[in-house]
Amino acid sequence: MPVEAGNDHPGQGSAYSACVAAAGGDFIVNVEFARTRVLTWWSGSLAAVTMAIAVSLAIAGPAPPIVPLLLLGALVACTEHLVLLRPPTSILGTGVMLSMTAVVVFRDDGALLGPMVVAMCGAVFVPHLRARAWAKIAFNLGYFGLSAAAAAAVYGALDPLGSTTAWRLVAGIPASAALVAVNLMLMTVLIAIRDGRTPRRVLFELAPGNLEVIPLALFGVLLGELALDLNALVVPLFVAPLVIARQTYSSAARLEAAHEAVLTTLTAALEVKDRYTAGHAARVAVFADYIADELGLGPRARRNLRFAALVHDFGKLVVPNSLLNKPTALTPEEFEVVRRHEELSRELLAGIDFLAPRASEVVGHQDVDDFEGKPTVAHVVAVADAFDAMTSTRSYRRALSQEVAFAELRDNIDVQFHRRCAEALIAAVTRRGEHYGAGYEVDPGAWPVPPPARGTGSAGLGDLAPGWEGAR
Amino acid sequence: MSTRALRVAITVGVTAVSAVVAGLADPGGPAPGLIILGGGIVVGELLPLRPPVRGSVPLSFAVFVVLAGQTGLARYAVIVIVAELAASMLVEGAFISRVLRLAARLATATAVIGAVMAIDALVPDDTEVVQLVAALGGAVAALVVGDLLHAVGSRVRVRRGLQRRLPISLTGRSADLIIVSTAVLMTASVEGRDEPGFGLWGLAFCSIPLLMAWYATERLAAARTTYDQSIQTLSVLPEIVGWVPHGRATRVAQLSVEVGEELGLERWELDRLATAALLHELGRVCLDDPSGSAPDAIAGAGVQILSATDELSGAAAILEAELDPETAPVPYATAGAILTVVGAFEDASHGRWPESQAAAEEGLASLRPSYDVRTVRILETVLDSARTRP
Repeated sequence: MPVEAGNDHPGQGSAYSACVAAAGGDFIVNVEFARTRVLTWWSGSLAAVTMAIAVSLAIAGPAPPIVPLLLLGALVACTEHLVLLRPPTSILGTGVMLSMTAVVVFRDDGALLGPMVVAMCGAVFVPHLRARAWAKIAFNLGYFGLSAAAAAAVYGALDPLGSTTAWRLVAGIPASAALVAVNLMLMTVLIAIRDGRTPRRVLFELAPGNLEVIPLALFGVLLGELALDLNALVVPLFVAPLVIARQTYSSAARLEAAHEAVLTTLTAALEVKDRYTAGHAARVAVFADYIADELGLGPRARRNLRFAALVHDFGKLVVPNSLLNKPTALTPEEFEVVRRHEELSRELLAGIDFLAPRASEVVGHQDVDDFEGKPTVAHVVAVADAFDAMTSTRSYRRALSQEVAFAELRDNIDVQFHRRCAEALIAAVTRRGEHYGAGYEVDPGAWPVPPPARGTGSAGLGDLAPGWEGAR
Repeated sequence: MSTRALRVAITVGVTAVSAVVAGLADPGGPAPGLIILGGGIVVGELLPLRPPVRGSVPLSFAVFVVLAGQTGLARYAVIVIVAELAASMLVEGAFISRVLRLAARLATATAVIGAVMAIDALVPDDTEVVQLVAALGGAVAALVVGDLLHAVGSRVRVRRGLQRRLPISLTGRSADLIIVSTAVLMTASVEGRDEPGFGLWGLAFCSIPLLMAWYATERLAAARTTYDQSIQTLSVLPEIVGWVPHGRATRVAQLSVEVGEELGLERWELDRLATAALLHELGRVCLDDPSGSAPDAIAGAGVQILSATDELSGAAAILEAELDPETAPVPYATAGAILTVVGAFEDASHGRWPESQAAAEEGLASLRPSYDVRTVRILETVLDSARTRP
């Protein structure tokens, strides 16, 4: 299941996120819970209760019409594992929507049994069957079946109170809420048992994601009314474009990830030329993403920023290796050659539509001199680039400490750096408890010729090293 | 707000106001609904589905089908003509392309109403099944006509274009499936059954999957555009610096793909060959002497760079096949041979073969003694075709 780059779930590390992450984004509970006896008993009991209810209903009450039952059940079985939407804290599949559709479609015949059977078809998950994960299948049977039964019961209780389409749609709201409530309760118990945590805490973490399910459930109610008005055959006609949209969206996410991988490969090529900047572009992209996260930018803006950060130094690919690694100061002619990479970077980036308007800014970010208003791509890249340059060892100077780098950022606000970007990066690194710079570098001794402790090469910033005469 | 979003918003606003006015002037009449469907046509033209391996499919195709089921021929014609004229003013493009687009849409709309009327005439019963079958026929007619017109409009050689576009391919036909299913669904929801049904609210509700599909295809199209542009940008990097002649990568890629088509390579093989051709010289960036290094060293460095990611590993395998054709796996050996021959031709003709027949002849003459005879012959055929192509 594709995970959109940068789309971190809030509360990373929470039980729900771990559950989702372990599931690879599947709405079906694909938790890797340990095969503990308690969990097994819990899952088995749930499935047993659900099946007992279903069998009792099948014996006692009117049977739901077979054609819609088979149709909706097959749709749920085939599409439940396909994530449709990814709101901030949850993942949504077709099962919720089609369960509510079944609640409406079967309201006159098999009002409880029909939705239960349709929903339980969502437990038919081929990977679980192949892996013989009977506990998971049992849990899902109970989880889906009881949720649908609760929704159907509430809907059935409210339906006789009104006869208009509008009233029936309104009745779908508490029914959807009942479905979500039972979902939440059963999942909370599962996670609490698995992790040994208090149910209250787990409930608090899971609740936001489950609430986002309600609009999709209401969709299902509308679809059910449409199916009743016309024919249940319209349901596949509604679901088919959604499934295609989902597959297309997945392809787009995969292509975006592949695109980023391609750019990362090219930065690796750059690092073959200049090992002192190994990982520089990737780190600048990470820092740019930190800033974007602190500034509250959306997924597309963050993606564009990461891309801009990865490519901002592409022109270095054409700078001779001897100049990139020169330990001493560059001559004016050599400096011009190195600066030429900026022109080339500009020319290269102009060929990419969404970057073309900002190519000059991205490449010449150190020349940006307007720090009023909203931060731009150039402002973000400037701060990220400078921070990494200061906290990395180069051929002409060793890494500075993180404290010195932070001080440099603060001292040059509105001179070289945009205030919001500088403060955002400092806050992000501090909040994450991360450390960069002197003493925290990877493989600090792995240089063929160790660079000087403080240097005066291009952008050496050696004068910022503490203890150096003339330090500011 | 983007230009397109603004145009959609204006269209929706104007349609809403017009529908309200019509509703006040003619309460309970069909005018508001027909105006909304007309507005839907305009919006549909502004929001085309752009699947990867097919021409774009405007969402208005689905609305044509609904409109055909809701009104008679005269009103249908008036609404379609007015809506398409309005859409022609809102879509971007040169005047002549807008005129051609308008003509194509009117032809498609004619096919839709023709199919619906024909099915209604063949089956006189006015049951809901017949209505849905008529909607299905109308949607299919729209897609077939639209596809044919696109093939012709793309200026591909018609016979080859039809051979490539008409065979059913799931990847290319996903947009068709979306339009067909949504058109039938919309028709059914607007028509209703025993009860009045959802009417135009059903139209709005049933457009949700269509709009979601549109958003997804736009996202994929944008990702594909950015990806292709990035590859293109990297391909010109050696040219910008002056290590290789300007335009080399594009010429080699174009010619390699045409030779590959003649040899019957699949679309995905051609895409991989094009990528390998575009990034063939990228390995120079890693070398100490980028402009003077041997071809094998350049290709070897290129293999190292490209093989680092899954997406480019196929292109890397083609470059590797160039270096060692004897041991290369079959899928890559052919592509590698094509790239070798075309690259040598480009170098021998000094890049002047597109405009100078003498340069092309000189290039071919240098290839004949040393390279695969079949590939050289096919290259010759491709060059001849290029010369005679309008």
